[in-house]
Amino acid sequence: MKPLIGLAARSLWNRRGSAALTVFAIAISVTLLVGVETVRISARESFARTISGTDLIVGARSGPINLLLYSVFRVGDATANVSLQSYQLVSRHPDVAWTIPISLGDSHRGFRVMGTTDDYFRHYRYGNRQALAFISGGPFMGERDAVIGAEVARRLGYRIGDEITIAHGIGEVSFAEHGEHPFRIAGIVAPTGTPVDRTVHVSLDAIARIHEGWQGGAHSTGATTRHPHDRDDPEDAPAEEAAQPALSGITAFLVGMRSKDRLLQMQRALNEYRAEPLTAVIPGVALQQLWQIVGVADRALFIVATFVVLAGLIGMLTSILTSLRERRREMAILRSVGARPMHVFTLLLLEAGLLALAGVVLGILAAHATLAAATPALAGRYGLFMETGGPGIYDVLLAGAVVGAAVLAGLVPAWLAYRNSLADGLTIRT
Amino acid sequence: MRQALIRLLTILLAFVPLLQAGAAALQIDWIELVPADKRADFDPAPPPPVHDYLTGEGGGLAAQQPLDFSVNMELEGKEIRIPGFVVPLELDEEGNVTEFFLVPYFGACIHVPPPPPNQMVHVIMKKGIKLDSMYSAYWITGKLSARTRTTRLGAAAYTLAGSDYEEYKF
Repeated sequence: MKPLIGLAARSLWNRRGSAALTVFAIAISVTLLVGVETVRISARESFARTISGTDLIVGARSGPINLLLYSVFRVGDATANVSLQSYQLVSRHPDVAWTIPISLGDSHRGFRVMGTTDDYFRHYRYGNRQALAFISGGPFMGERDAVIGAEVARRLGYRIGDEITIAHGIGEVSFAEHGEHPFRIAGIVAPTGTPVDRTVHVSLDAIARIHEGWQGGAHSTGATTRHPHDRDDPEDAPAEEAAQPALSGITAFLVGMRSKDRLLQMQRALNEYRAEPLTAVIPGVALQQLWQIVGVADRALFIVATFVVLAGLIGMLTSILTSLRERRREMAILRSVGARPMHVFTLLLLEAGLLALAGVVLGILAAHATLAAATPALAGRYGLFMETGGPGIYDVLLAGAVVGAAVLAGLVPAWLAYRNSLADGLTIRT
Repeated sequence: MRQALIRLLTILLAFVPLLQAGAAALQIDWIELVPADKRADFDPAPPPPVHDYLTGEGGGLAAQQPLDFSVNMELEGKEIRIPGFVVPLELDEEGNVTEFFLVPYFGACIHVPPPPPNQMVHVIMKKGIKLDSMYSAYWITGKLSARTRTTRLGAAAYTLAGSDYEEYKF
């Protein structure tokens, strides 16, 4: 067996051009399969770990999935705000243990800014009911403090005490900076593998303060951004110079109940609340619904990737089959030095196995390298956190399956070569 | 592929509790959660929506509870097996449901008002359920607790320490 492997390898080396192409084709197909699988599994885990220990997410009337996406994953935007009155009604309800207000809509160099209270650091849970921890610093104390996620700190190189400004609107760049209200970084949250890592947290008061004077849609205290229609008469804007600006509403809020017994009553009451159209969802239900939608796409991706691997293997089969004819002389020489037809059979099986093994190893390595390189971009753009722990048991299983399939496919050329070598013997009839 | 394997294993494993726990666990129907003396006039329809739970207006919080909190004390501490739909509350890191409400009809808490408290079981699973779809029903096996947990409103609910589950075949 061992000399046969050497023989097969050297025979392949002799035809290294076409062999390399075959290996390459298998490698690409395996890269695709591993990539799709890793994205699929990590996406599910990344979704599931983002929120835990929260009983209800409440926002303006919309769909459960939409509400979950914009409030927790910071993907997309809210259709409307929730009034402070409704928020206070819930937060003061006797069955409610805690509430976390969330106010979104501003950004800092591409990272979302979230206005909240220090209850967020006390009650927010992710993964398996893990609380947020700080690498350095602590929760914000005042209106000028900001707490940043680990990813924000890493990417922008921020430390405790650095000053930052916050821009109106979301996206990498904004031309409307709240420059007159700088923030000082008070704390950095330890990595969580959730959108928290990519968030700049400030207090709700700060959000109110930086939007002071923005009610008209643009900042109106400076002469250059003066509103043409209503700023001629100073009587029109009396509220602008108010000492303590009040927030008109928040984007959404999270609710923790004292007891799960009352959870459904609360959800129902919020969804049927007459004073304001609200949507309250149980995070687990919304996550499950989200997964039912995403799940269809990811199953389809998996099927496509499997067929690409199949195509790669068929490509390998084709190249071995076409090589058989020109290798009759090789087989005859082998026979002349004492190889039995059975040896020829094994040789071709080994050839298929070696090609597939090389392809699979190359493919898995390429997939993990690509994923490792793409992780920051995926996390940044889609809030998708990959677990790039390198190749695992799954990859070994996959490699085994592909090599096994290749050896099975190799039975065809092996059988043909076996028959040929029996018929040809030492002389080749052409 | 991995999923197919896991599914196959799950199906195979599903027979294990059937063989061993099937004898020990008491298979019950939802009506048995209602105390025996109240079953005659039990209405399985969801209770009327409660509008004033939030604000407490209109007779106060206690007055708006025509809900049936009575529990069947005979089931306290029993190992039971009950079919129902899953309303996920908590997921583990792999996305399996570890904590949920088991309810007798689909859509409870989503489209229609929640069922009465004694027609709902708060389940905490030892090992999470791999929920393929919320439309599927499951048999849940575990130890039922019918203790009346007296809250401010005198609410009571069943809790179940779930040990096994199996997909319900219609």
